[in-house]
Amino acid sequence: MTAYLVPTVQWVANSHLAIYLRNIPWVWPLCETIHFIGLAMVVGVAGFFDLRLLGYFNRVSIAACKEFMPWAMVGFAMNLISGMVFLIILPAQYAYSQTWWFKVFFLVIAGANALVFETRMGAQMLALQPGEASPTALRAIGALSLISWFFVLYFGRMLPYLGAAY
Amino acid sequence: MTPALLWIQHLPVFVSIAESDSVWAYPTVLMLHTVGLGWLVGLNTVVNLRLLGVGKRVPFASFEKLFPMMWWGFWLNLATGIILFCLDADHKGHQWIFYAKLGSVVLAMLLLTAERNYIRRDEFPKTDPAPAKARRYAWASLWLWWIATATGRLMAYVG
Repeated sequence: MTAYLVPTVQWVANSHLAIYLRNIPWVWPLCETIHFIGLAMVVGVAGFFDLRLLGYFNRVSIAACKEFMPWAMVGFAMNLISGMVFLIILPAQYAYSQTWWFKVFFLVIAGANALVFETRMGAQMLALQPGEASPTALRAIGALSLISWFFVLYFGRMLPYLGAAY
Repeated sequence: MTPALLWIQHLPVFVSIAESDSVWAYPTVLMLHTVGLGWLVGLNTVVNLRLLGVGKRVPFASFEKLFPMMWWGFWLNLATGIILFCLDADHKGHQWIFYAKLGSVVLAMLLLTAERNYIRRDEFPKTDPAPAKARRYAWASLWLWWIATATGRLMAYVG
């Protein structure tokens, strides 16, 4: 299934950058630390916004709650960078792991869901009056976001334990 | 201390979890500990950011519902954390970095309670900027959670 990935994985694994990063002992633990601090920012800030879409604190406008979202992007950027370092240092551990591809799949779902919200839900969001119940479409976006971020975390944290890594 | 730690670690319930190959044993407990971390620390970060001036149109009082949700994350992590400790008590019980983590979590939770009580006081301003004391609370909380997360993560590497 992953045979076509072998040349790329080997190229990355043998690259100067991979060898350089692999030989600095503190790089991996540092990136783990950054990855977990970033994880909390994504889960907490996006989770807060998802709770609002689900109808919590509906006296506050959705647009006001959305002002925190750049900080979820900061957390996401931290995790994208630290995640890329893991991938460069040990590409085989991820590229050949079905569990990691499930994680990527749910990242794509979370991203597509956010894109639908950004491009299709603006009018609905602005039309909502304070205290008014959240319409089904907005609730669905919030629920799908919470579920997909849970599975991103699930397959990420379970990567060493689910199925064979190699 | 070692005999007590070994006694805990050798209790049948913890031996069976430690020796189980099931993903529902150790891996699931570890995963839930990460879920609780994200929820507790992440939601507290939202309040801290608000006190520091992010999202000014969100009234401070609307966080009242958010604090009990942070406690769900705390109780989940206390339960999963006790299990994770007991599985490996004779190792973790001797790690200085584990005590650094424990201390920073205790301080962060005390600060979370102080922050909540401060925000809900009648004399707490309804508009920005938040008082200097609230901003100090927010920065201290952010740093304590970063230290707790870092020391917790580094237990796998240090000490």
